Amino acid sequence: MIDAAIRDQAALWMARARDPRFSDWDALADWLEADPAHNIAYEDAFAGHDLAEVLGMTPAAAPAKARTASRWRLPGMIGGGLAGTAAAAAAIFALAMPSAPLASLAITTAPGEHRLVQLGDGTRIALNGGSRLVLDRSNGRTARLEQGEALFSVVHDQTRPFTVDAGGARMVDLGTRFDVTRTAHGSEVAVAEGALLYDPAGAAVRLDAGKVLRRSDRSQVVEVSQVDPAAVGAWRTGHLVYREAPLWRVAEDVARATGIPIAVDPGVADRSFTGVIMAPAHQDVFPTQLGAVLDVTVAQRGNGLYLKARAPR
Amino acid sequence: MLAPSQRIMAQSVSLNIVELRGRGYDDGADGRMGFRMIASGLSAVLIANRAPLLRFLRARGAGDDAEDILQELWLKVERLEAEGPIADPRAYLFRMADNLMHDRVRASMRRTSREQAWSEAGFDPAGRDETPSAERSLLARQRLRRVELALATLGERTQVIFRRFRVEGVSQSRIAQEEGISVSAVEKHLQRAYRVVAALVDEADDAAPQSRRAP
Repeated sequence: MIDAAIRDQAALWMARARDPRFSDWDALADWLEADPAHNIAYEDAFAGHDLAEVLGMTPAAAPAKARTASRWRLPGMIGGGLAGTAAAAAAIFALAMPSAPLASLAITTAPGEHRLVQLGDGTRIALNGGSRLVLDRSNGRTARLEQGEALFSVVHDQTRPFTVDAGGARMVDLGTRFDVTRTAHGSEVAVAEGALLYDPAGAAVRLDAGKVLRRSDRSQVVEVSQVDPAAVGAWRTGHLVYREAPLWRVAEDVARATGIPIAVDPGVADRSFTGVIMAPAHQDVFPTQLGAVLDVTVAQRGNGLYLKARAPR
Repeated sequence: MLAPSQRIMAQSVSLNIVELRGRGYDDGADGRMGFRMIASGLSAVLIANRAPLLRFLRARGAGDDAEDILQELWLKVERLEAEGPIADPRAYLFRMADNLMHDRVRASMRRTSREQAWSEAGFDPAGRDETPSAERSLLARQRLRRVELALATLGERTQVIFRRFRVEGVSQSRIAQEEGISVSAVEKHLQRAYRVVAALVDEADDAAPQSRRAP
């Protein structure tokens, strides 16, 4: 017989572990290891979790506070089964739930946080960390990226093209999946699939899959180069993929992905990097590994990191 | 058959960062730069966390099978095409391990009378259900009423919070924001709800012989 205290603890661990943001699995292992009865009680609570799935059959009697205006259909990702990998996949999405019916809707993410936004027409926007995206409630076919990075998977509608603004750059989709970034120096758009039109009212540059366009805020000069389409939006899988990217850009991306502020010494800021950086599993060894791959010295500065040239041997 | 993967599993290397140039970079026949590395990213995190994952699996009741189950997890990861962003790959792997152990318990239950009782109550943990659909939906409605009745004893706020968490998949921190209460207060509400639904499982267990005798 398992006593009530253990049942209570198991219910608490179930509440924690089913949270999409839960990360302290080692502490759960500690508790489970302490007594074999703990795992039995945990499994019973897990069965209760499964049983409670039936609650999804009816809408909530009292609507939750954050229910939104009906034209913004932002469906939950996990209406159905929470079993197996579905639960794991759900764990990594945080749905954008706007709370007040305003003319525009701003969705922001903290550094290290990802969000997936689905619009009423099926268009999906994956928002990287440290980003701010503004949507217009009266026109569901426009978006403005004010900061950070977003991967757009646009459902194409020839009669209602989807427009994205980022800094001074404007893009119109021609049936496409593309990634837009607002960096400290300008805007960048990389096309993974299909094509889009840059500056439709002016230059009207067509960008096909595998093209990346960069626009400098200061000079307003636009340059187009090649990118690997498979690497576009790779940040969503926890990977940052580069071919001859300047270090300042790499540092911005890593900071956005990890939430660790990273400054770069001007002496190495424009140095080129080619490679892949993955999300760190252990924060403590990450600076060392980052230094080894980028071939720089990584120093602690405040609560962040500082990249500088290695001392000559 | 398993030799190559076991060899890889045995290496306890930390591969959080992989260089494309030099050692480890495989350009691939298709010339798609870095593609393989992207596919193997989660495996690398798994290899780096082999020991804590094994410990977790043992604590979850894997016993001597822990190594085999980790192998199974590794094969799953290899096949997995990441659909979305993995903000925390390590937590993602532990969640997979947790679910894998839960699936195994349910699979072994299928062979027991307990599983039989669950099936007759219209609850098939494996999601496999051969009951006619009209009967199934009736049973599901009955089950829903039981769960709702049990939760009704906890007060409306707990019900709303549990529904938001369990059905809509909203995180505790977001619920705390919405409700204007602390995360630990949200946790308390959820703990009480989980305590109640877990007890319902036991009840169904005890009621099993009767329900089986029913025509």
